[in-house]
Parts: sequence; C-alpha cells; structure tokens
Amino acid sequence: MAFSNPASLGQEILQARDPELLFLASEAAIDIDNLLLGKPARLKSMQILGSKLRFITPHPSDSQPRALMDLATFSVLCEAVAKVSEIKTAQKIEDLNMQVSRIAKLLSSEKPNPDCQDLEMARDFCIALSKALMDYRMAIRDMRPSHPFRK
Amino acid sequence: MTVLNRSPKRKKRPGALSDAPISLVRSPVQEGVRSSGGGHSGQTQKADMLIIDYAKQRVSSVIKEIDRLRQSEFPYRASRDCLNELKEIFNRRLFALETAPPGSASARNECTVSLFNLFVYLPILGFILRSTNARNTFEAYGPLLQLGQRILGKGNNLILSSEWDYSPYVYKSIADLPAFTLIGLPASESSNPLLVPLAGHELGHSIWASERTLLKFDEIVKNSVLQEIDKRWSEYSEVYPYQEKGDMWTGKTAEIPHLWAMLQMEEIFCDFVGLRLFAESFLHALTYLMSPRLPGERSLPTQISLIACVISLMHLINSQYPFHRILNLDSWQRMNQQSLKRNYSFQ
Repeated sequence: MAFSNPASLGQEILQARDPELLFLASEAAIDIDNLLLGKPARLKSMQILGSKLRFITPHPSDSQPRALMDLATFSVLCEAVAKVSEIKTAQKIEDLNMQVSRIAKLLSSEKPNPDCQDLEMARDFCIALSKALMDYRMAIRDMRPSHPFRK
Repeated sequence: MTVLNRSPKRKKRPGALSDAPISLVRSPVQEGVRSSGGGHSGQTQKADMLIIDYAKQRVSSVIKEIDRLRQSEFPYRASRDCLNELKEIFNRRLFALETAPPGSASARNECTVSLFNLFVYLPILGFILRSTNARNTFEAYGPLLQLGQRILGKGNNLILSSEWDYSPYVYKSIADLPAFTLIGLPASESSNPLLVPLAGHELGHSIWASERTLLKFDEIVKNSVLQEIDKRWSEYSEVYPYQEKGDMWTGKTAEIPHLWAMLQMEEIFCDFVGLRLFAESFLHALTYLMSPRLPGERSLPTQISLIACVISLMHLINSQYPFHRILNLDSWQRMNQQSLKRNYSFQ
C-alpha cells in the first residue's frame, strides 16, 4: 500500500492538490465506521490525516499559525466544516481553525473511544472532506477547454 | 456522451440523500452504523450492497486491464514501472472497498472515491499504452530523459507518447506517481524536430511541481487578491452581501482569482524553462505551433500573449538581440499589445 510515512508527517504541508489527502479522508471514515461497529480498524489513515490537519491548524496555546495554508486547501476545509452539523456555524477563520484542530486531535488519538459521540462527527467530517476534495479537483478538470464537438 | 456531469448549482431533489449535506439529513445508512440497522429497509440494504459490488467490479476490471497491459512490449522501462504503481493505487482502493462496513456512509463514500479514481487514472493507462506505439518519436526519448534527469534527479522517469490532441501537454502533479513525467506530443507532428523544445515547456510543469514553486508565490498572490477585495469592499459586498470582513467565506471566494493567477504564473514559468533549455528554438517551436492565434479571450493566457511576454522580458534583458527580426514576431506583438498591457507590466 502506498501510504505516506507517518514519521515524516510533520514536514509535510497539507494541500488540497495532493491526491493522497482524498484517499486518507475516505479511508479514515472507513476506519471510524469500523471502530463504531466494534470491528477491527487499522487507524493508520486516521492518524496520518490527523497529523496533517494538526500541522496546519494552530494549537490554542500557539500565538502564530503552525504552517501556511494555501487558499485551495482553506476553501476545501471550509466546505467540509460547513457540511458537518455540529460545526456548521463556523463563520470566522478562528472558528474554523478551532474546529479542525478538535477533529485533528480526535483523529490522531492512539486509542480512540468508540463510544465517543465526537467520532461520528469526525467520520462525517472525513466524508465531507473527501467530497470537497473531489469537487475541487473536478473544478480544475473542468477548467480545461473540451473539444468543440465533444459532448 | 458525458458520463460525469458536474453541475454544482443543480437543484436538489427533495429527499435525495446523496446530494444532501450529510449533517442535515442523516441517512438510514449512516444510522445503521450506530444502531443495529433499525429503519434500514431491506431494499435500501440491497441497493447499498449492489453499489459496493459494482464499485468492486469496476476496480477489479481496471486491475485486470493493467495486468493485460503489462504483457505489452514496452520500448522503455518507465511505462511498465508506471503501470505497477497504478496497480498499487487500484489495489488500495479495492482493499478500502473490502474493509468498509457494508451499508455504512463511509462505504458509500469509498464507492464515489473509487469511481472518481477511474476518471483520473484511466486516461493515464491509455497514455501508457500509446507510449508503445511505433508512431512515437523514440529518437527524442533518450535526450529528453537525460535532460529531465539532470534537472529533476536521476530517479525521474519519462514517458513520452504521441497523442491525438494538438496541444502538447503533461500529466502534472500526480502525487501518486511523483517519479514520473508523462509528456504527450501531437501525433501529426511526430517527425518535426521542433517538438523537442516544446517538451521543454512541459518539463517546466514538472519542475514547478517538484520544486514546490507554487508555495513560493502562493502567499504573495493570496495576499494580493485579499488586499484587492479589501480595497474594493463596497463593490465586493454588492456581489456578496451576506459576508462580513474577516469571514472565512471571503477567503473562499478569493480562491478562484487566486487559482487563475497561479495557473497563469505556472504557464509563464514553464515558458521560461523552455526558453532557458532550448533558447531560440523554443520560440521557433511556439511560433510554428500556434501562429497566428486562436480567437477569443480566455482566463488562461494564450501561448501568443506568453510569447509577447517572454519577448518583452528578453528585450529588457538584452535589447541588442534582434528577437523580433529573427522570429518575425513584430506583427504578433502588435496584435497582442492590448492583452500584454493588461496582463503584464514589466516597465
């Protein structure tokens, strides 16, 4: 399996353009669903995604953001956050950072609690994130002019 | 026939679960994961199983096709290596489909992701197959590979293919295939030596990606767009009346102009790479390929306005060098004065 190396995650910048992110989001959602059902879950994708998200969102104790987030990634995260009911009220960038940081912490947990209600929210976020990423990549694809006679 | 029709503004059918925000309408499928499946009708379950089965079949078919393609004779190793990598990608999707709990929201989502993958990677399989065609300019492969490896590193693999698309192109930023540069050149020009300098522009896209050039400019462009919005806030709020300064949505609406600017910048960067690698012959190649120009305005710069941009800059660097006379481009530059003035102001 072509997974990123979790050890190098701190060095990676999360980017909407990275196809790996789409896979991770979808696989993390599967991991969570398996956890919720009490089935064996690998947690690897969850943890990698969690680390990537943690890297871009400032910790409450930080005065400065940890890494630059490009506009495309920001846009995709906005989309994903807006689709999750518990956090759809996020309006300010600080709200977004706080909510993403909360999800990132949940995802990177070594032993996530399957009874935790927030896990469902994290699962919904992962699904929304993968949909937003696909939408974004399709939007770029659509920018390419098609053949004048192709329908 | 367009199979995948993306229409973001389409009306949602009432009760259409797949279209609804996942948080607002909780589907029986999602409920089924938490509870023991109460309210999950037999028919819905059947439909969910069918969707997963279809998704698995589609992915398996691609894997089989890759295996068949691997039996082909390849003129160079890179094509076969790329097929192996692609097989890994689809194996990973098949594994995800097999481990997703049937009837769950994540399983349904994974079906979409694997479908999306077919749209992304199937054209690349076709490209690899065409790279074996005898019509390809195999003589150009060696020198271009050497050039690519000198710039991008020894590990870089080049796949060159004659394509039935007039505009040369590159599959760029395939993060799953970072070690591969896939360049397509127009089949009708396969005997034309000017194709080689054009590949220089396409190599530029790989350099842009591998050097993470985007990140060097991203913040500058982002801030410029946001500053412009700030400067013209009253105008902006007429279009987006519900947004307030500091809203995260302002950043989101800035994404489109930001993306256009970044794409323009990348094209210009690649033209300079082509020019750096092949000097005048790159300009001759562009002249041959695109003169006089296609009509109409586009959000992305046309090659001709890029030429005008390149020439203006070269003129600034070395005003003694008679680019205009050599390439007979004065008439082009006149034609594109307006777009040049609008898009690029070097002086």
